[in-house]
Amino acid sequence: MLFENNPIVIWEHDFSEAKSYLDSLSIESTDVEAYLNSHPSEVAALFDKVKTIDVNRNAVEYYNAKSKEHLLANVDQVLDEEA
Amino acid sequence: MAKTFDGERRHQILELYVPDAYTETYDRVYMTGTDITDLKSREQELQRERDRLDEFASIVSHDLRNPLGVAQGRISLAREDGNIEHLAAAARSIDRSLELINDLLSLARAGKEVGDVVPIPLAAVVRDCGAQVDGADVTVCDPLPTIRADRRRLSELLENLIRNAVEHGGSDVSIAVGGLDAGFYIEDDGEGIPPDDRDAVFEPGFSTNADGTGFGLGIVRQITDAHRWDVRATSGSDGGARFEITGVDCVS
Repeated sequence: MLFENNPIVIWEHDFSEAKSYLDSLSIESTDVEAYLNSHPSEVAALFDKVKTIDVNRNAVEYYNAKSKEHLLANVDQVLDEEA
Repeated sequence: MAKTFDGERRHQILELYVPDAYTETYDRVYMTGTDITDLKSREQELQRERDRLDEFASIVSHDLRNPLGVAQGRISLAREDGNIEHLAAAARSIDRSLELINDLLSLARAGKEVGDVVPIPLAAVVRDCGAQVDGADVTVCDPLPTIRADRRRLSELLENLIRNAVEHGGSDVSIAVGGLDAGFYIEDDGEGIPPDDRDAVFEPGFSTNADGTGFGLGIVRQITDAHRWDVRATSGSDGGARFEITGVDCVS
């Protein structure tokens, strides 16, 4: 209920695949930001590995989606690489 | 930056939160989005205000210091040699400074929104404004429309355009004002504006006339912007300057 009725936009993601991929790159944790800044294609690869599991009602209204399913199926249309 | 499904672009602050139970696997990560579009919009408006203030300060420091410096120099000379002709030159420089101050104040005010917008018969206002400018020979090409405008700002706009024609064409110049589809024009039979200068003439401080302040057409542009009208400089039927104001709400 707290998730669904929260007045702010909330996304629930699964980052496990993205984390595994990042781990496989064997980058020192302190260097991750610098690495991604110099390898923008890796940012896109990581973004593709993030699964969106759920969004709350406010997110559906905020993005003017037809339904929760509509938003979940079209995340790349509202959040681009810049986000 | 996010985009809604109806194409609206929104500014958001996105924050990630990983609950303690998932800090090893990352299979539950929550992301919150806080909309800051209005804040960004106010920030951009403040930036535009700052830019306008910078421009204003630069004009004041550059253009106003010059005649005041001349006046100061002439007064010093008058003190040294007692020649009162220096005082006449100083007085002319001070008059020039006052003219600049009046135009600068007008320019600063013109940037704001218009006041009461009411139906105004354009022909009557053109005649009144023509009478306010020394040496202006203004012909009203009937019929001119009745338009919806802020009366004071409209008079200011017309006086500046008429004064501009007289300053550049001299007392022999003939000025005509006529109607357009959703607008009106004012043209003269003077030398005209070279095509390359037709956009630049609206920039504050632009002048090809040593006696002009260079702010008149900048004031015109700000008044048309405030009314959401368009103004453009072009060539008149006799090769003189022609200004067309369009996008005007004509009531008859």
